[in-house]
Amino acid sequence: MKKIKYLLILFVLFPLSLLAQQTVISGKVIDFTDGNSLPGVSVKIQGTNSGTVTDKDGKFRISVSGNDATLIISYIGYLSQEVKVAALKNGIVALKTGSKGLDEVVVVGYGVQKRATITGSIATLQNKEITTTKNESVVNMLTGKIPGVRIVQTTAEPGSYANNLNIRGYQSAPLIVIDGVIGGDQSTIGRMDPNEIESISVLKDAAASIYGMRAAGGAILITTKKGAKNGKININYSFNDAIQTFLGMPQGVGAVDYMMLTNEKVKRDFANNFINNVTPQYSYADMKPWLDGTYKSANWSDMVFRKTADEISHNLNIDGGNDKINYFFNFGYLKQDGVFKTGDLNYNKYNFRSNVTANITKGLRAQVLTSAWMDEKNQPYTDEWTVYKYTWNQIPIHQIYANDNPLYPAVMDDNMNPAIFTDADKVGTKRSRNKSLTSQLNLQYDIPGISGLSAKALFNIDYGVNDFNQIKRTFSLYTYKADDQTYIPSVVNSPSGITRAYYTHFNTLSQVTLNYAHTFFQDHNITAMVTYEQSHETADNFNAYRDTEIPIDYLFGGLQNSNMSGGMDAGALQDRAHRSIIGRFNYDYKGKYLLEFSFRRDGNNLYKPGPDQWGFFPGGSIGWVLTKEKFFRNLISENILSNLKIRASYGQTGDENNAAAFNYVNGYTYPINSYIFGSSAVNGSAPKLGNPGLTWSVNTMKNIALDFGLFGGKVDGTIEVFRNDRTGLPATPSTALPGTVGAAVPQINYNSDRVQGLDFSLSYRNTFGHLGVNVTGNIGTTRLKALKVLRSASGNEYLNWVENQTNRYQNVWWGPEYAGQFTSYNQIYNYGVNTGGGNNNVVPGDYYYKDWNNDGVIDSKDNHPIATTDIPLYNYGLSIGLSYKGFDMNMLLQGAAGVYVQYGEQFAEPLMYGRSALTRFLDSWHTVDPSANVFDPNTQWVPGFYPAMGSPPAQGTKAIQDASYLRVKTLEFGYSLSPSILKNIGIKKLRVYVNSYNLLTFTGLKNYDPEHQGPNPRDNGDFGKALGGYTYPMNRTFNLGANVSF
Amino acid sequence: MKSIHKFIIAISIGVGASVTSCQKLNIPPTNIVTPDVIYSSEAGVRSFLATIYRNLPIEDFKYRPDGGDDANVNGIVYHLPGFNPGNPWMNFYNSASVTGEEVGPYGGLDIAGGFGYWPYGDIRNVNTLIAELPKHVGSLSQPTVDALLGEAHFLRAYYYFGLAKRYGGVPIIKEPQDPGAPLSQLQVHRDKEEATWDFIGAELDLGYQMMPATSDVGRANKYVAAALKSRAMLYAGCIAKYGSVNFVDGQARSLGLVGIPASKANTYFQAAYDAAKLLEGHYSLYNANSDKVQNYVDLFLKSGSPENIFIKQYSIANNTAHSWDATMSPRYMTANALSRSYPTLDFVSLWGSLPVTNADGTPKRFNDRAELMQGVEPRLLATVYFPGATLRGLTFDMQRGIYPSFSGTAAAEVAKPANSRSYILAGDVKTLYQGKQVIGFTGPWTGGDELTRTGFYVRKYVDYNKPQATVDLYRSEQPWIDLRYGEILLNRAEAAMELGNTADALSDINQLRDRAGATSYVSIDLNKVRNERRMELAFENQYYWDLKRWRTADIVLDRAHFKGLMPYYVFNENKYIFLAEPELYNREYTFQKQFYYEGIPGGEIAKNPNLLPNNPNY
Repeated sequence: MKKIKYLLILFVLFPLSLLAQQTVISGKVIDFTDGNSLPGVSVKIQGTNSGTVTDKDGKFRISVSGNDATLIISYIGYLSQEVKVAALKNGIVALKTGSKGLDEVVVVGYGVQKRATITGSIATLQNKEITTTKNESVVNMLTGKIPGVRIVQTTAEPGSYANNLNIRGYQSAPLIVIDGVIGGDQSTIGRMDPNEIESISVLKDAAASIYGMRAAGGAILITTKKGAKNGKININYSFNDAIQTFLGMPQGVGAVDYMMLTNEKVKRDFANNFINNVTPQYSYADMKPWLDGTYKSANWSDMVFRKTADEISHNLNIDGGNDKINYFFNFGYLKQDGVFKTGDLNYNKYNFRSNVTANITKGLRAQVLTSAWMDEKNQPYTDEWTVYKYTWNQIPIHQIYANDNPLYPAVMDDNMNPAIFTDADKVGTKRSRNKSLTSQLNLQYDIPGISGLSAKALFNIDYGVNDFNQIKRTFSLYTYKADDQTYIPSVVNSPSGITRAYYTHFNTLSQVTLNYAHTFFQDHNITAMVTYEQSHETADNFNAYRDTEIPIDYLFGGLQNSNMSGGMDAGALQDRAHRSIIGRFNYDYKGKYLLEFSFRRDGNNLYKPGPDQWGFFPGGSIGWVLTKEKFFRNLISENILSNLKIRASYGQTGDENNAAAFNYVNGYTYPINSYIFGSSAVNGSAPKLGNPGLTWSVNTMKNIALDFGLFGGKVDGTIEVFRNDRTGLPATPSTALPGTVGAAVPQINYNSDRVQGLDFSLSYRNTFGHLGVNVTGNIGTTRLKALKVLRSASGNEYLNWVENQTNRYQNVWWGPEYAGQFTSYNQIYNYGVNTGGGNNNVVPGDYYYKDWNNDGVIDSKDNHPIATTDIPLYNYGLSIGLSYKGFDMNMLLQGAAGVYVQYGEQFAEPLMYGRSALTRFLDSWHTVDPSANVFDPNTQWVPGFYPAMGSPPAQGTKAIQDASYLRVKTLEFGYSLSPSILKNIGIKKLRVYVNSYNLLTFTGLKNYDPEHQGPNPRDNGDFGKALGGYTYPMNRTFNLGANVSF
Repeated sequence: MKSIHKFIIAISIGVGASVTSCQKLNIPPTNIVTPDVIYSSEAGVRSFLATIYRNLPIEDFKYRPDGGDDANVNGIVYHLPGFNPGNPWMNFYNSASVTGEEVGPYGGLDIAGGFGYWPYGDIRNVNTLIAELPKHVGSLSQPTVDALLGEAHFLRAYYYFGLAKRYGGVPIIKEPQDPGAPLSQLQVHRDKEEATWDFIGAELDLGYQMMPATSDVGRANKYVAAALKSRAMLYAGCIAKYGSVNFVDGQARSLGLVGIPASKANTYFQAAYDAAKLLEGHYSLYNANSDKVQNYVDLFLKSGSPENIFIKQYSIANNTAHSWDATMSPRYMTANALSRSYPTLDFVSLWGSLPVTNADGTPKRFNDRAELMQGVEPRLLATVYFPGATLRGLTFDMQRGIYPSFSGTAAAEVAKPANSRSYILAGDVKTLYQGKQVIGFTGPWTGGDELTRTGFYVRKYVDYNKPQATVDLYRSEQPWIDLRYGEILLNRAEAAMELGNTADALSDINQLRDRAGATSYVSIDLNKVRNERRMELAFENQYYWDLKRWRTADIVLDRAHFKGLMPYYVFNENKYIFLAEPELYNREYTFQKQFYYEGIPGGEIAKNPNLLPNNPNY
């Protein structure tokens, strides 16, 4: 940005004319947000041709005819301002940032390009657009802001950084590149300090081809701030204090309700009540003490969870510099508390960055970019999901304390006593600490003699550590024995123990690049780049365990007994290397006809050494700027259509992760499990058949887009359609090989699929007097379709129809279609369709489903596609920015449509596992007489929303709910004090704000937060994915903060 | 200026050098070793053997006869249900809990369909070992290769035994097939059931001939092969004899894919008898403790017992520990438990009726629940925890409820509808009646599965020495005794009985009865031999297969319901009574005749139609 300012000076060098009769006024132009003086700003007098530009201190002098004159002050990247000479108080004009001009420089793979000549699909975001949202994770600060980038926040747990982030629904994770260095994943972005980010570029199409075998999911490029060159030192301090509240926290029923519901469930069990009703589980003797107040139901939720939790962040950065050297130093701190009342779930993080650029000598520039971060997450030893589970389904007749004596926490199912299970002092802790250091040195040299030719060399190291410490403490729970009034202790989590695990990685990356840029015959612009890059990534780890008897939280304090163990996680051992040759060529004619070609020849060590490990990934794009054509200009005025560009791209990327590493090797896998021979365990090994033929899958990305600018740049828009075909996905033909062979046939590259969709974004910027308006909206849609899927035929036509995926949209949710709820025995008797078991076991209130195949029976054959799974079909965002004098307002509306959820476990089935029920299930069908036989047709019922206790839980369209939502993701009000006032107290800028994250959510979904994860077919039955919905709640935060610049 | 230039050049060279020192791309994987590493030493082969042993179809603590769910351990999902690869903790899902030895959460006869056991991947491993070993005589020496080959034949027999007892005849694959071979070659046919059992017998003979007499604990030796042979051939003999009487007809049967001609029965019984006899003098019954109860308890817990022939070991450090202690005893006596299967009164009555009823039909009054144990055979007391027994310093205080007063006969009381009985029940141990706890801490209870529903708990294999605080899931390390001399005597007795050699059978059985603390028999019949087997091998996952090979499962489990013995406290008398009532699940168990064989897994038939015809009625 700053570089352009200097360029602009050259353009606007007017002769300062000699209008002798007029008065000369002077002034200064500064940046509204950070108070920096702005050099090179155009200052024109309205209605004349005369004007000037500001000098390097942002000052200007201009002759005007009188106080009535109006100055038009404009600068690239900022909103123009009109100021009456009379109103030019203290001579200072503060400009606000505004539209992204076509001259904006955009970071692309291995270089930068002007937005005007870009032909690929590259979305960008600047720092100021990021920081309007206040959240602990930078990823959540991007939600809804970048067209085509889809983010689902799965948890607000401190330090978890668990988000689903993908570009356009591509099936691979995007490649992360920070300051030109490949590495990391979405959590790497999440952990950054938002204040250190200058800009983010998202490469969504063939523009990512330049990253070859690792860019199947597109690429996200992050550029950090490098510091100003204007000779000033800026010291910026900001803090944000947030209060978190928690969304969608359910409550369980009370003791008597629990006993009544349980008795209803027991008598609802057809098999157990077929001849005689079984005795109710809870007798009147059981209920009486709760009814008469002898015992009181405990409020488990309030005991474990708090209503609000703190989150605070501080940031201090210093930047500055001059022609010789410029720098950016950043220090950030974040502390976030969790939902547990004990406070033992918490997180803190430190970010540090030092970016220094030095011009060593003419044409030689050196940069040292160093970033470090450390974080620490503490949580109680108890598995977190079990805390939610056992709080939400806690049986309310269980007393927390034996005989209500607070000295004796009572024995409970699975020892999950809410009084202590989140208390780290009692149960122990888990602590995860990460440390990361990244540092690069790069040198750039303008090669003398050939104009436009420069060379660059870069060397980067990336070192990181994850240090995990787990302390399991023994504690006692008690049973009260009324007969002799004793408390029987029961020791749990014995023996105490300590586990330490240490993971470390060390990566290096080096590059040499030649860049060439030249304009031939005035109109033919050429840039070319060729890079050699190599990288080596290694990771290692080990772990150890010891029993402990005395509370020393280090391994040395542990016992040297037979439980002592040491080992390593072989899966996290890594030794990978890449070598690549990368090139790009750009050509444009008068900025009108645009052409780009890029390639990457990529090799890695995952495949058989030799030619098999090398791939070639080309990409190309073309563009045509119609508005630069004379004939087009004759048709439409520039004032209406200021810019119109058509562009198209085509390119290939690969996915090295799609074929298992070292597939070519024939040998024995070691170690796998172990078995005890004699007195010692022996690590197992098993033969592994080599398969040299299997290779990476290839993505072919196509993109066609239209960029337009209307009304002199007030409205900007882009519409893009894309298609990403993956071919050569590994398929296992063993589905057709008899099991008696005992070996899987080697996988082959056979399957293919396609993602296609559309991104659309539109922005509007304008000023009305002092009112600045900035509205940006985007929407994206995408769909995955399998094209070729290798499989053997299913057993019958129906199954073949269900299971055949060839040429079929993916992420389809199958299930029965809800048809209604039985309301009377008569209806059940006269119901012509067998809902299973001949309808013997059906009572009023039960759900019934559509006999979709009309075979008279409701069974799995009635399942058909009813919804989509996985992340939303449509994602959209709308941000609205308003500014008026010192006030500013920012609102981000973000939403998703075509997204479905289902909830399981306690949310779907009351009294599951013989545990309690959530209060919502009190609204269920039950008999008027609590002891009535539910299978007796004369029994009278009270209708409710849910079916009777013990009835089958909802399925299909009744269970799967539309979780489309619209959130007020961000709402921020800020006030900036006038720089002219602040100047007197030595402050350049002071802005205070209030902000809320997730303030409001509009959704049809009842009782839940729409981003709360539930079991989903995509989990393949893996409970660990959604943990049955027992996950950390989403948070809503209220923030108060300030930014100060000195 | 010059110095700056030098500086620049130095940096450029430095960076250039680091960049151009070419990164090698031929980095080998870290976790795949070459065959040389495996076959150049015994330790290498042992590593491969560890994998093969680990997957053996040993029906141990963790065996779940219906397969159960895939197990998820530390985030790794194991798609190999059935035989413990994923270390499931629910050790109460055992076959004892559907056959009437115990009752538990299994409803009906969930296990009879099996879980599609098809271990040809493991068999391929053994075949690979057998194919590779002779090539490495140079590095391993001929005697070592021979001993290892013998072990491989034993292991292969074990896998085929796991198949044959489920499906009858299966394809016998003896060498690793090339997955790339034409499908027509790979779509093999099933061998006949008789051929399958003969193959198992022959493999075990090779094992017996080639293996040494001793081995590391947990590995096979020649006597392990003989022991397994006695079991396998007894199965084959019974299938020949009883399967020719009680069967479901179908094409698979007429082709001999299932079923063995009755004429072959005695050949197999003789083989079983001969194999069992080979062990005589090499192993003996555990008799270290003169206290018959304690001796029988220790038999399953003491290491180095002369009775142990083949065991499987577990360890916490190794992540293979099981959960028997935590899932067989109530939470009251453990640090965390979910006991869910309980011995039935029907099982306990194998030893004869318990004296809980007076001659006039009224319940006998007991001052103390423990009095019930007087006069009970030590082996039964060591197999089942009775009311009043103690574990880890705590008493099994089983109490179903309280009768404020009790009159009339036991039978009349039990026959009344539940709501017209005068007892006080409770769903919560905190509930008191006149200050007296209504139900015991150890049940019986209807509120959940985790307290007894029969009035008994399992004692066999429960490690009473384990401190209560350490009785938790995945914390039990006592080995599973897969083959013990007690079973060999039973195999021998049964084979002898079938062969008409009653004298041998009587002597075998009396050895066991003497150790059990029971009175010796003076005469013997097949029924006594079978009952002795039930008593001796209770809860050892044998009875289910015994019912199948005897072809009596469809008779014993014909809409069967089982009973429990419910202790009540009679308040006004301050006495205890015991009422025999349906176990509180009152589950029904029915075994259909087709279940004598499991169906060939449907997925396999889809991939290889030559496996047809499927077993009858599938």
